[in-house]
Amino acid sequence: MARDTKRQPGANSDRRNLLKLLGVGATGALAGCLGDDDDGNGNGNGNGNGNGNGNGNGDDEDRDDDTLRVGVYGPLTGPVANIGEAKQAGWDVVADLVNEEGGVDGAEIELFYADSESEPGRGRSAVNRLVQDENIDILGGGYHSDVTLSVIELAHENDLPFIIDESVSGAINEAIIEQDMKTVFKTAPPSEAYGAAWGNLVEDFDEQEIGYFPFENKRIAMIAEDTSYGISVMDETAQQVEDAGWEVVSKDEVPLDETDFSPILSRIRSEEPDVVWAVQTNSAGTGALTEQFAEFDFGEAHFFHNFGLTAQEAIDRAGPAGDGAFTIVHPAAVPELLRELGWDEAWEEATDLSLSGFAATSMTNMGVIAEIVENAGGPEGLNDMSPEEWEQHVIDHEPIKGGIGYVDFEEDHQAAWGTPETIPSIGYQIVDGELNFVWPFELAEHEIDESFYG
Amino acid sequence: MVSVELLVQQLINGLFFGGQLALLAVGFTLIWGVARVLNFAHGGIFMIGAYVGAFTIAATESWLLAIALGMAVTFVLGVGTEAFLIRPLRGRTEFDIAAIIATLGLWFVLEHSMRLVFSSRQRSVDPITREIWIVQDIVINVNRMIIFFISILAIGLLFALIKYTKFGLAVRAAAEDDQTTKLMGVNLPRTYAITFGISTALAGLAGVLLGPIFSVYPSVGDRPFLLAFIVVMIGGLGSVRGTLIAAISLAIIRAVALIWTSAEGAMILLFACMAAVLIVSPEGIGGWIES
Repeated sequence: MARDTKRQPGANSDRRNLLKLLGVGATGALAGCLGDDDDGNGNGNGNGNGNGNGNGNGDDEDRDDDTLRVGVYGPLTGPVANIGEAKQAGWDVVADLVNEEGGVDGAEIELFYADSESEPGRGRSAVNRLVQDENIDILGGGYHSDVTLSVIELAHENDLPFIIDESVSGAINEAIIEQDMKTVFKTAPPSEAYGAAWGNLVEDFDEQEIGYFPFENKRIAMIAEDTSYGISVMDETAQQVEDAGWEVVSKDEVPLDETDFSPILSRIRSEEPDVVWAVQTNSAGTGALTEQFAEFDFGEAHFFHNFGLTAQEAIDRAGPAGDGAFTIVHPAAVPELLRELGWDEAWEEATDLSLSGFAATSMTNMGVIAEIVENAGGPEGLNDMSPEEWEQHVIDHEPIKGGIGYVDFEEDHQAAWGTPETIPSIGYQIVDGELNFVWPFELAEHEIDESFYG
Repeated sequence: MVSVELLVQQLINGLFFGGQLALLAVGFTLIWGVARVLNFAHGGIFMIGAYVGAFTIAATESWLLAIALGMAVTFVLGVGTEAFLIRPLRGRTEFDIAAIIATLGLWFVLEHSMRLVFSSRQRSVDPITREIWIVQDIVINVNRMIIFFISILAIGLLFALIKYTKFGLAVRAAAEDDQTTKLMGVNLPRTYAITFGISTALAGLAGVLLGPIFSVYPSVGDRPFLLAFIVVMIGGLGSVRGTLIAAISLAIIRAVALIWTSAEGAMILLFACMAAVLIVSPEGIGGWIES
């Protein structure tokens, strides 16, 4: 893409003594933190400001026109590194498949990874390195919405094509529209899609009298991790269930890596909710909450969990306490589509990890980038496009089949969601430590096991 | 109107959590009190203990062996840290600062090494027991109760060691006046090394015991260390008694506050309590006890 990307500047018990020591400690920590990301990204490294291919990067002599340089970022380390590992495997598997089949308009895909460590500043810094030093053609990836909010600004400033895979928060959609970010598109449905999904699930359970449903008082208690993702999903879901006649008896925000929920659950239990609902991404925290919900014996109350309980590590951590819990996620792996694309077989050959929704989303992200760039005329065609041409190209593109549904970007840069022809929300019931796809009923592969709700 | 059951439940929740915090925080404050080292690798050593415990339990299903091995490995790690990392820095004009940077470095090395070897996968560990007691509608997690009593026992043994043994006398003397202690014939390097080992063994014990609650992964020590750090600030750096009181008090305040407020409200109250304590007694609870 033709854009102006000139290299930016690289970017003792005495209390006074203690404060000094702590200051040094903090400085040391900061220095340690900076050490990773800025490696090779400083000023004065002699690379200059060359712009041989229009990307304005001094590493042009390393540039191979027969490659599509795809930058990808995600939480490769940190509290949700397990998810980052699955996502990385997803990008690798599909990139390898595309390369084996001749590449993107003849160009081989080369992946460049950036580790966000689940922190916005780190994510931005790591992606900046990809832009400045690695001369990437296009950016993919994402996970925590806070990180993505900082990265989209960077992409926008550099006119860098960016297709976000997994960040959900509606704040991202707002930023794209308000700042007219022509090069940025978002695959994962926004927070409101979770709200809509939970609202629909509760109504379906009411109608079909699933488990302890229907409830007379309709009381729900909500817990969210204190991230943009968690809070936005909780707020949207609260709105939807209130519209469906439910009373939200409490809303709690907890740290991402919290594992002791006993005082919160003690209070919630005294409020006699019919449903305890939570949204988390950290597997240890999700597993701990699920286990502690079961310990506190909520009687005829359901446990609903958004997203985190789809990770096998969270299910393992919860142990037998997880059985009977419901969880919704999107984007989620759609087995039928994965089979049709041959991605399930390729995955099994490449890794021992389970093919989770996280992995399927990243596989889809890679597949979508490959197909859109292919139809743009390959890397060369992509680099010749103006931001306006790229925007129109993506919006006009036919829906692309992926492992999570069909990706069809709309005028607002958000992929269509909520139906089987787009990106559906998938509901699972945990049964014997496995995720059973049980909702929406018309797509489900398993019946709900009612034996847990005696 | 708050029910008596809920109040008692929150007191129990706070007590159990406070015991966990105290176990980690006491070791951290001990080494400062004796050797004037703020060991920023304490969370990393907690993590090592958690891994040793997880692997031992997976291989032998023996909690006793896991605790023994976890404490032994982290004791050796602590002694080694003092002997090879901290001791060469002693005598420098800015020893305190150099020690912080050195232990920070060790923390990064431990965490990233474990990530390289074992990846970032979060490993689940079965608890000592999954038994739950429900007494008068009050839920008691037996695993947490056992952890609490082991923590109190370990801290009690530490108190006894410091108060009633010859080694403890040397430790107290070194904390009071290291130069005079040296002139009295006490082998200071050995005293520091063993104290460091005891401190890290307590962190290792916490890692083994809390693995089933926190899960086991390379950065698992980050949050417990942060909480322990806050507790030590309130309890008073170097004060084992103050740290114990602070850990239990803060955990109970948080739990009881959650009866009336959300998790965010409880955290605000907690930080307000911290500010109040430090304004009234800048040396923390330990300073207040001594005065």
